[in-house]
Amino acid sequence: MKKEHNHMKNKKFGMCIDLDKCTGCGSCMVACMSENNVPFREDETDKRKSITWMKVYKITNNLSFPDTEVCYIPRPCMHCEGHDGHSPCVSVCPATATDYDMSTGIVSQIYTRCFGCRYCMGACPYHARYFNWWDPVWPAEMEKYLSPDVSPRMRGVVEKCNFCYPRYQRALDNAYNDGRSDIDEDEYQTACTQGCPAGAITFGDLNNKSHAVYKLKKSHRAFRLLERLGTNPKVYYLSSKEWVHRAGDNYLEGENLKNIKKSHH
Amino acid sequence: MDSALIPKGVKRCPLPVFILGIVIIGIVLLWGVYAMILCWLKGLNQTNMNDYYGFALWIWADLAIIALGGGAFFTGLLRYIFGLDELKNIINYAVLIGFICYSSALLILAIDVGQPLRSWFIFWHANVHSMLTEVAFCLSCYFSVLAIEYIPLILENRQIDKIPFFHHLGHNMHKIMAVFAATGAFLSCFHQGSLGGVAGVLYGRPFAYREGLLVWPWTFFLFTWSAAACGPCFTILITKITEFITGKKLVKDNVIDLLAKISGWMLGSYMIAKIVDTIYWAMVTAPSLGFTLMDFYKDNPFYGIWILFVEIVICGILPAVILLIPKLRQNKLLLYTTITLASIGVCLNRWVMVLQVMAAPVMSFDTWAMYIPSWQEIATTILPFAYGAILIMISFRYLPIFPQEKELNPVE
Amino acid sequence: MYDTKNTGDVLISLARTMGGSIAESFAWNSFEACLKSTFKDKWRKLDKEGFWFNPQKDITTCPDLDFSKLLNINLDNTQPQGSKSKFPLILIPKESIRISSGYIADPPFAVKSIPDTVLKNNDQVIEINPETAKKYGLKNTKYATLTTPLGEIKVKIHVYNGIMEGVVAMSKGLGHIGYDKFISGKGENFNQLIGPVEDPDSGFDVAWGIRAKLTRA
Repeated sequence: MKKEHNHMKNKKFGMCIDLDKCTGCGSCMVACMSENNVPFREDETDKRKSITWMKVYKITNNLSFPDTEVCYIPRPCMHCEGHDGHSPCVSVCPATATDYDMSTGIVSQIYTRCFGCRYCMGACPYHARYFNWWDPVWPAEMEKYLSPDVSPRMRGVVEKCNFCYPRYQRALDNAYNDGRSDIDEDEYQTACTQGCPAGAITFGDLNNKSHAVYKLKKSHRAFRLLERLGTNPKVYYLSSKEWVHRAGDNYLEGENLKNIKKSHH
Repeated sequence: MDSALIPKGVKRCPLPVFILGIVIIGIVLLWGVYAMILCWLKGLNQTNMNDYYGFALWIWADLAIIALGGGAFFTGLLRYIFGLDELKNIINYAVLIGFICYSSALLILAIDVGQPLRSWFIFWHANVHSMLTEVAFCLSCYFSVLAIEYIPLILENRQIDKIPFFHHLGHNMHKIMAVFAATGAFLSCFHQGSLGGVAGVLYGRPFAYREGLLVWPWTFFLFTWSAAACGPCFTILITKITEFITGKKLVKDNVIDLLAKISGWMLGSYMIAKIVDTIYWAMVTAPSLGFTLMDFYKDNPFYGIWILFVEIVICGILPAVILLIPKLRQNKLLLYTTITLASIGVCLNRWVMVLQVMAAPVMSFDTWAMYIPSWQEIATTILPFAYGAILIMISFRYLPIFPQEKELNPVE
Repeated sequence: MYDTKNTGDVLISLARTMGGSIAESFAWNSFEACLKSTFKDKWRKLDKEGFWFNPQKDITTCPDLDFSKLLNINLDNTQPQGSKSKFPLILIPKESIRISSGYIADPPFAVKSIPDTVLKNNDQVIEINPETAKKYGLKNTKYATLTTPLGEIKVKIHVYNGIMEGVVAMSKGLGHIGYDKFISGKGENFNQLIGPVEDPDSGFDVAWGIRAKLTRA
């Protein structure tokens, strides 16, 4: 398997989320939790202790009624590439429990190697990383629903979105069984992509010209969160509103959005 | 009763008084141990940390006590490498304080990680790019060095010294101590620095992020520098507290004065570096990421610009000036105030570089996150102080820690 | 993944099977063809970007839909229950797609997706404008008592400038007393605070807003 991978072109899986289409319904969050065996507790209203690999933020243009405009920003893990794969979290993990996979561009998390120092959480400006403050407990009758391909996590380790990596493995297995060396775009899609009723999320290989994301990321509506930090995320957002673009990063007063973007590309 | 164990020529309080003291502090210690066991058995849900505060009170406590324990490596460096012989009169105590600080830091780390039984992964699966790996390696190595430096002192106990093997071992260890002191100074320079690097490399956190030299952000050098400056202040502070409690003079004024003067130079030069760093960060680094200085000090109930003022002016420039002017530092009251301020200053710096980093929002639509530690976190943070006090009490009673004690307090 | 058909296509094929005038009314080959002929020039943008809007254009002139009759309804005819002097505010229900407001309650994952500006611990959170908050001395995240002519509950305040002054918005679909611990006892039931009023145009009972007041708890 490894040999075959080596002479294949590196993939770079990423996402384009159309904020003009997102209704903030939260289906992506639910689809994600259900796919990835994310536990739930009786009280999940302390949002800073609530594991949501995919989290939908609600932002406004800060104007008062009736000029208020609302935009929802679904936030999975950004799978930052940083500079040469030095994403903010991967470079700080002391035990190599999180890794940047050059062949897929996916930032992985090895739960059984993580010893829970939480340095990666401090490093991530998107708050995409979550700590298991408690052992996961599912109601007895729900244990059968758990995804068999996804390992549940124990107390005391960090977890996060992995672009439904087990789905990728399954797709590769299927392709291998069929004697194919590669998979099609629709064979590997994340749960949130499929769960979105508005079709706002598009997922695919950002390096592959035939994939939808390849085109979408070049749209004039596209931007990424906190680009100025140099995190180099692989999740693109699309919006036709300037205030939404501006909310995606930090700007000094009077800074011109377009000039900064140009200098960064 | 235990007079056979007490060093010759010095006077100690009656045993019952000593035991009473141990018991009182022991209660505090047990409270901390109870909280520690709760954290180990029930997990970190016993704390008020959350996904915004992965690092909180404990990491601060770690950074702070390691900085304060920096007196050991810096005094060692001055005594053994630069040959400032007078410092031999305070080096034992500096080593003991360092030993307490470092063992406490390791203990807190063992509580702080989510899966303590996997702590060895940091060595086994070490990621060489991580500052924390560097911290772990240097910290454990230096702790061993401190233990090696502390052992000869234990061997000097009257009863242990009677055994020829231990007597010779102690003697030989003393002879090679310079080697360990040098190793310790090197290791300590590195991990003090890598602790600074922990925050400085976080390029996703503009409040902490600093540019630097090669792989080391400026905070790397600032942390080492400030530990070297404030560590000795803490050593003096604890010495003075010990003198106050025991009611005797233990170290001659000229020794204290020398250490205070060196601290003054270190603190003064550190403040210049710190101010340059702050200005560069506020004028160049942060704006390039879309932030102004005041973005980090507004819209929240606690972190105002006052914190920067207190750290740099009141706990930085002020003590540096006092320590550098002989007349001022020889005034006892001023000296005590100053070393206290310097110790607070370095703790405040570590607080800011851990807690404020976590508190400040990065995404434009995120909000400040405030945090109040739970009693379990506080109890486990007080635990090292209780443990340290007990270790100091026992060591002081039975070991000849202060070479000048006999001379300063002749027994009639 | 599955062999499925769009609802529109199902209807078209049903009509074709039924024949006669029904089949004639559904003359399109597919639902897509139907959409294309209905939206005409707008279809291209819809197809490409997934949405279409034109706020400048008067919706009443949309060729296939006539909403003009709705505009003739005088909304002022329907008054929410309660006296203005005693209950200066108006409580309205806020439907959220993340909260099932029908008989079936939210499952745990959906409850988890409810923001803490709607539900905090077991407390119902309501939304008011900063001006309203100022006027009645209410503070963000603090408790208040919400009273309507029909009931009284303890709520938490969420101050939000996106809501109209004088209006109190409360989510619908919480306050279940049945089901399991993951939903039971969370928040308050909106329905216990309102009564039906008659819609003068249709004569039907409608669940309208109701007059309310907020006092600091």
